Amino acid sequence: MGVRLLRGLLGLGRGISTVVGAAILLAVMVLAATFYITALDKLVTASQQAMKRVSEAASTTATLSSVKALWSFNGSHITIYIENQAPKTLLVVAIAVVYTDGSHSVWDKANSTSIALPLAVAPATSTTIAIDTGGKTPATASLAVEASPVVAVVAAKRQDQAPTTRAITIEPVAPGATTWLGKAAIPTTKNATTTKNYPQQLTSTPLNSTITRISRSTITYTDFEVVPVPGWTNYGGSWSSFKGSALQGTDQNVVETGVDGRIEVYDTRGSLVAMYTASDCILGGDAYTLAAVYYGATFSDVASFSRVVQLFSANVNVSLATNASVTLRVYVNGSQILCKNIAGSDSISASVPSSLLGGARVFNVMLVFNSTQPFSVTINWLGVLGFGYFEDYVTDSLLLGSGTAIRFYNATKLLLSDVTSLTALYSVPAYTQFSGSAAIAYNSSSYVLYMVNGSGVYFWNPLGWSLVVDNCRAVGSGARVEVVGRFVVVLPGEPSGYACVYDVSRGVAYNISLATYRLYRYTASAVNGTAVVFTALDNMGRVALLSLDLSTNSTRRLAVLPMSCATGLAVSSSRAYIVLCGVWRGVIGVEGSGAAVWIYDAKARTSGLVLVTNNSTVQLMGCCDRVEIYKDMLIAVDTQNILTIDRASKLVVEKSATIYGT
Amino acid sequence: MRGVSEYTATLIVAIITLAAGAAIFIYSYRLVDTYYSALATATQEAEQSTSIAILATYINSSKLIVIGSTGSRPATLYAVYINESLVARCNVTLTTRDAGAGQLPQQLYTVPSYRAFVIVCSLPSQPSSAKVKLVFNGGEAVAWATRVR
Repeated sequence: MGVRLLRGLLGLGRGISTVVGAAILLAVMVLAATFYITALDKLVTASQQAMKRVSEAASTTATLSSVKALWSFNGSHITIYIENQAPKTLLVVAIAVVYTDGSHSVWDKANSTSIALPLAVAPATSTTIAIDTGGKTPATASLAVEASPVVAVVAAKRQDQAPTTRAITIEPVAPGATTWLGKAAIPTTKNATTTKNYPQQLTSTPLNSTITRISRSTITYTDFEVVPVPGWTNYGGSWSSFKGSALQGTDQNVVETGVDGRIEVYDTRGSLVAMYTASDCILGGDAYTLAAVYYGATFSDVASFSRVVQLFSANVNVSLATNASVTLRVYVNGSQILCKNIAGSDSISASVPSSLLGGARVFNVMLVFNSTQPFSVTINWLGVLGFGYFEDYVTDSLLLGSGTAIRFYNATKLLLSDVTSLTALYSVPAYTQFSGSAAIAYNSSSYVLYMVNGSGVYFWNPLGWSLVVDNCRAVGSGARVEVVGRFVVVLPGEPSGYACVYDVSRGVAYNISLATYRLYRYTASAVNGTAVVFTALDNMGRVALLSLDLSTNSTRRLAVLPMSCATGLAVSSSRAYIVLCGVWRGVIGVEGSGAAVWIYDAKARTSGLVLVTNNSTVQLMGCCDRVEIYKDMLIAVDTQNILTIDRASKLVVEKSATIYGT
Repeated sequence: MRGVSEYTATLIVAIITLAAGAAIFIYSYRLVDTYYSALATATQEAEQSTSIAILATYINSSKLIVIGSTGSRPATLYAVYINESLVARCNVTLTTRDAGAGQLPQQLYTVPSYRAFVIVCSLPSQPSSAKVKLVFNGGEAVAWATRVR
């Protein structure tokens, strides 16, 4: 029994141990499972976040690499093209442009007057930004682009386009035409602005009136001695004159009674209208009348000029009608410029003296009318006509001497791609025929236009032409004139072997020999700093490109040209461009149509011919230096067009050619 | 007594086992949680970090010019290194003067969001190129500068 009990107790103990052990094992397993589940959950969460971050970074990188940016420069504006090929919107935060001179420009949201930054670029869209560089040439352009959360830089690549030609129609150009391009004040004729609307009605007012005595009659009186006034003492005596018909009298006891007198009449403004001073005296019985003998009216208007650089002359024009004969006096800024009698309708034009024009910008014009009878005036129109003055419309201009006139064109219009025709803003009669023996140049400092012909050098301003010097004159075809600082340089043309220089400041002219070089009918010239670059024939009959430096009066040869016929010459930076005449006969190695430009690069010391595809119908046929360069654009003139060749600096020698003169 | 000892022993073993298991669990959990927290914090910081883009760096005469821009968050500029050498004095300006000018590294300079800035540093020598490192609160940006004049 005891053994059984012990065995039973032992079995019970084993059972309890088994249960406890099992519970412990279960608890350990639960703990282990909980730990691994928790740890795995944390690991999964952390991994997801890390993967998200890595994915975003990779996405941002992919997005930024999907942004394409290109830039181009047309001589005045940099155009940046941005294309977003990414599936999310980008934000252009800032733009930086570094120029070739070492300066830079930066635009962001605080400095974006011309650009709205930040600029959102939606997916699969593009945008173009044009920025004025202020004449500087860009070297690089870069954009800061944000593809959240990263901001990165997209470097814009320069997009160089092939030079193209474009024809712009102008008025017909006669053979022998010549051009000049630069900053010039374009003469402008304008009416001055006035402040009144017309017509205006005026009614005269009396200006000068007279007072005259028209009667003298009795005022009843009684001698004091006869009927003494109460309170007065009778001293005796009697009235000596006008007794019974006037107040005046001479009493033996009253001295200076009623002598002298004056009547003054004032208007409502308190101004004295008329005055009467009696030669004898004014009596109570007198009757006087006030009568106007002089009538007048005034009228004024203010005319003002704006943007005037220099005013040479002006006219005051009046159109009016009056119902009586009146005298008109015209005053400008207080000075009388005209006095004229007028009856009925009349139109008057009065010149403003030059003494009143100097520095004047505002003209106070006053019309004063006077008459001896009442009148009314209708002023139909009053204006100051300014003619022959330089407005401050100083701009880059193309001057074209053709036929017998010199035309002023706005050269800035040539930069606009949508301009297909150009009209001259002003035309100056030259009174000489541009046939190769006359040329023009302009002094941008003094706004003076120079012309050389067979009589000498003339200058023009709106007052007309004046002879500058007759020692320097053209002798034949190919004559040229250039302005280099204070010098006016004349290349007399064919046949001559010298340059005639007129020193404007000293008023002297002298010749500089060109040694063995001779000017010829295709001589073309351009200014390069202190030098004049031009073409001439050497002693072997070849065309040479020469440079005449006015600071040393020395001539040196730059290159020999493999051609003869040139439309003209232009110089920009270190490059000289000579555009060939459009007749391609005799050109070996050159086929097809196009414009041919011979380029001399002083820096690279290279030269060669460049062919530019010419899709227009323009054919450059003539001589006489009708080529200019403007903001990296070559400009040549044919019989009815201006041919432009853009991106001149990108013209590179493509092939060599031997060209024989035509 | 032998029976009592077995129960006691069993209980003691059970307590020790459970305590050891709990200790291992707590230690392991804290270890995992620490690493997780650190990773989460790093990820969040990376998401919220500032960013700077260097638009242009070039050398003009004896000056180094660095043009940069911030994004949607302001950035604080600390210093500029050229070829791993600290530049003693650089002037920082914005495109407009609304935030004034600053001098690195003497003064920390905070550039507002979406703003471009220009840093001009005087160079003791005139190298043809240089490695430029801009240090800011979001890290560093590196670019190469070449001479334009």
